Amino acid sequence: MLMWEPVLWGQLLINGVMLAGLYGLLALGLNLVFGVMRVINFAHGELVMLGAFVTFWGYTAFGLHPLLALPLSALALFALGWVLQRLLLERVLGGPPMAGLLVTFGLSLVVINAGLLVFGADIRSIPVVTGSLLLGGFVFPRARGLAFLVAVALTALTVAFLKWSALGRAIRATAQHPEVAITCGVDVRRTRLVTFGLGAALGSAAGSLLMVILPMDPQSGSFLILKAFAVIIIGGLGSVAGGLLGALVLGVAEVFGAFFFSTVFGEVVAYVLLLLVLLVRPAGLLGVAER
Amino acid sequence: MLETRDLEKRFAGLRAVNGASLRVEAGTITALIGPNGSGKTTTFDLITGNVRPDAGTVHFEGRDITGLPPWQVARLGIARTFQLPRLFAEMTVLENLTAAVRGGSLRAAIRRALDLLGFVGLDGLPHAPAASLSYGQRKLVELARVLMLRPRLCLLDEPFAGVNPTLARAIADRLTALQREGTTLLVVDHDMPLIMGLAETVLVMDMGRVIAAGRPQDIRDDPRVREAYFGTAKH
Amino acid sequence: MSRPVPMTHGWAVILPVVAVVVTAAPLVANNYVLSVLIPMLVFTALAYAWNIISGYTGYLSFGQVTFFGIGAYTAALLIIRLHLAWPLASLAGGLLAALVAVPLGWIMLRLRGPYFAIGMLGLSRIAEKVAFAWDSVTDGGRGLYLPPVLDLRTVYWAVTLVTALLVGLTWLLDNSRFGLTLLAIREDEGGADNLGINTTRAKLQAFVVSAFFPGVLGGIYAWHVSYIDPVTAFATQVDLTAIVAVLLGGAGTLWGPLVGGVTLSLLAEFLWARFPFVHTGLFGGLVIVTVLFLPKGLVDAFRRCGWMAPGRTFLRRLAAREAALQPAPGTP
Repeated sequence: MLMWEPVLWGQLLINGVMLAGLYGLLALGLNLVFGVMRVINFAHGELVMLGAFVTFWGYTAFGLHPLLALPLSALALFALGWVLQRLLLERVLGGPPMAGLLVTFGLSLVVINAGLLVFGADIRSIPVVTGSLLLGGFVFPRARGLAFLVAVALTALTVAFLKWSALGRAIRATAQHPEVAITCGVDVRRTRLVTFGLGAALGSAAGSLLMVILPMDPQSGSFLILKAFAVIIIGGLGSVAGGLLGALVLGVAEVFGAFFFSTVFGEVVAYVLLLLVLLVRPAGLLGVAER
Repeated sequence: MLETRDLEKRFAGLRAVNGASLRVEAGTITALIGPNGSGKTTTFDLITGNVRPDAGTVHFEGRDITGLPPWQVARLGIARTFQLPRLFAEMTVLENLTAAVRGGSLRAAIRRALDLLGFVGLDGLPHAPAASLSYGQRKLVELARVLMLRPRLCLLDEPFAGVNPTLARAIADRLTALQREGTTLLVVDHDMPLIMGLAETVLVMDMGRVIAAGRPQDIRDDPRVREAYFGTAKH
Repeated sequence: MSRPVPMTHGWAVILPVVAVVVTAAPLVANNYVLSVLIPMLVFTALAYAWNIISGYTGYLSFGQVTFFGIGAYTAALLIIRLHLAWPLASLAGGLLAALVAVPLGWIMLRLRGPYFAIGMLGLSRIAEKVAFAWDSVTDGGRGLYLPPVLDLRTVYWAVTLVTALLVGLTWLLDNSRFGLTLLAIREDEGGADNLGINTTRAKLQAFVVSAFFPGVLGGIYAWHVSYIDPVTAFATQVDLTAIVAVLLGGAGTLWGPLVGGVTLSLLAEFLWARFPFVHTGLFGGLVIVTVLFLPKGLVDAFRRCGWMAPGRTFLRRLAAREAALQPAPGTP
């Protein structure tokens, strides 16, 4: 079964990388929030789902192309993230480590319910792009390709923002050393608000793109969150570069696993890798040391 | 009684302990002093098994205990306190003390706990929640707690830090009493007058190694020790 | 100090009365009432089991349903294929769950806090997928059908027995040094290590107990509803209810799971019945409110108001007896 077939392997690799692009964006927001607040946002999957559905709503109610609805939905989720941080998460900072997880866990349940109430339990999708391209002997499904390109662009934009903008530097400073950041004049609280908003916005973008490819329902967030966890834990919590690497590992592993073993195995790969990394090298591939 | 040889420990490129060799004789009070960052607490961690050494050995009463897990080291007779007292916050003082002892009669454990509370001067507080204690009280309870194990060697990390002089004096008296009963003590602290007056032997650490060992008066005048604390002296 | 609530002697009267009422209930209640009580008891028992590893030991698991499902499938298969009687089958389910919990716990308990929680969640998702995929044994997504059960009374008694055992076990925990050991691990595991406590072994023991009972309950549940499939056997809803009940009631206390469970049932009755579509959201809201405003749960709040006696009084009483016999020496 594991014979050298370059075309097959190449195709699988391409599929894996395209998936990885999306996973990278999916996990980016989660990683940022953890880096700055040391809180694992259990509600991230639900925020992703919300973003997807807001885009869906834009598409069905106003005929907006998802690429247009995406930024609007991201903006809405940014605002929501800001508010959530202000009302809920600021209160658990500096408390016991499980408090943040539990509060965001409770939040995820509230958001799922809200999603179910507003959008109903049906599975929806945004089949705006269909068909595939054949390039160089490889198949590139248009929808996945588009989602991949947008995801990569957004990820690159975010990385650039973090590296070069004042706010980005403030975020990185707060992530590394909040006490030092304060003495350097960084408004740490506002930075946290922005970070959570940004995390939600990025998640929303990922969700919007996912919905172009896959059908989703308001409960899809729960399975997405584990994928995002797997990505950031494999890559190393708090490390953006690690997140991208983790996404690559997961995307490729899933595609290859699903093909060579079974679809079920492909789904399980994320959890298995998650556990393996937690047990063997909890810092992940490029993880930051615990403060 | 306790001997370490060439202990080494690196943390992400920083050599916290770099060839530490020391001896502690049974029945003595030995002080371990040195500037901040010289590796004293890490050395404690290496002895008690909280941290595994990259190199070197630890022998206790002739037996090689290098790398043993902390619970085994404790059961062998080495107890240790921490710079910031760590108590079980949601439990009462008495529960903190009795939790330390497995096996044997509970009545006996309670008896011993009450006696030890009396020993450190906190008799009225067995049912106080640990979280409600003052800093000084916590230090005393922590001391009483490790004594529940009847350790033969106590590693005390800054027992006098942050404590008012009267309480410090009281703690020093307890330590002397412990030594009279046969317990060996290795004490890290920065309160020089107190610790020099208490200890028979002084070990000095700097940059991860033990640079001097001897009687308090000899150490006071040792130029290497001055250099470690104050930098190179101009002659 | 809060008003002391005299409880010790009252129990000698209350306990037998409760026992009689609880045991005799099915003789007067009809199947409908029993079918309502049984799930309530199952969730209470699950809450008690969760309380041991998560409340007392402080390792909050988001995946104990793994063992519930293992027990359910084991018992179901034993009943279907080997025609084993349901009590034996459920017990076997519990034993297999406990057996599996040993290596799993040894591995997972190395993780702390949020990582343990997420790791256990991942484990439960893997278990569900395994149940789907291993269809030569489990019949995959089709599920397993068991012979129907007509007499709910035996189910009720079985579940009541398990619940009573768990409450008793928790009482033992609350009044023993092993309980203090677990609490010590929760409060400061490193400190406990340094005091000579073999935390690895203690954690594992707590974990295995917290796996055995859900395993048994899974077996009873499978027999009771006569059908299981991967989704129902490993449903996150099962974990959710137990977690919320214990957090709400008070983790690491004897009455926490009961208080929490009863409160949830009451809320379910009054809120969910009227607004069935906000069930999940309400649970989430409860978790948030509890963590932010009642971090130690209702039992702690009741204690502070004096409505409930402080827990773990065994040391207090023993100490009082010791002190009476022999006053402790004063300050030297």
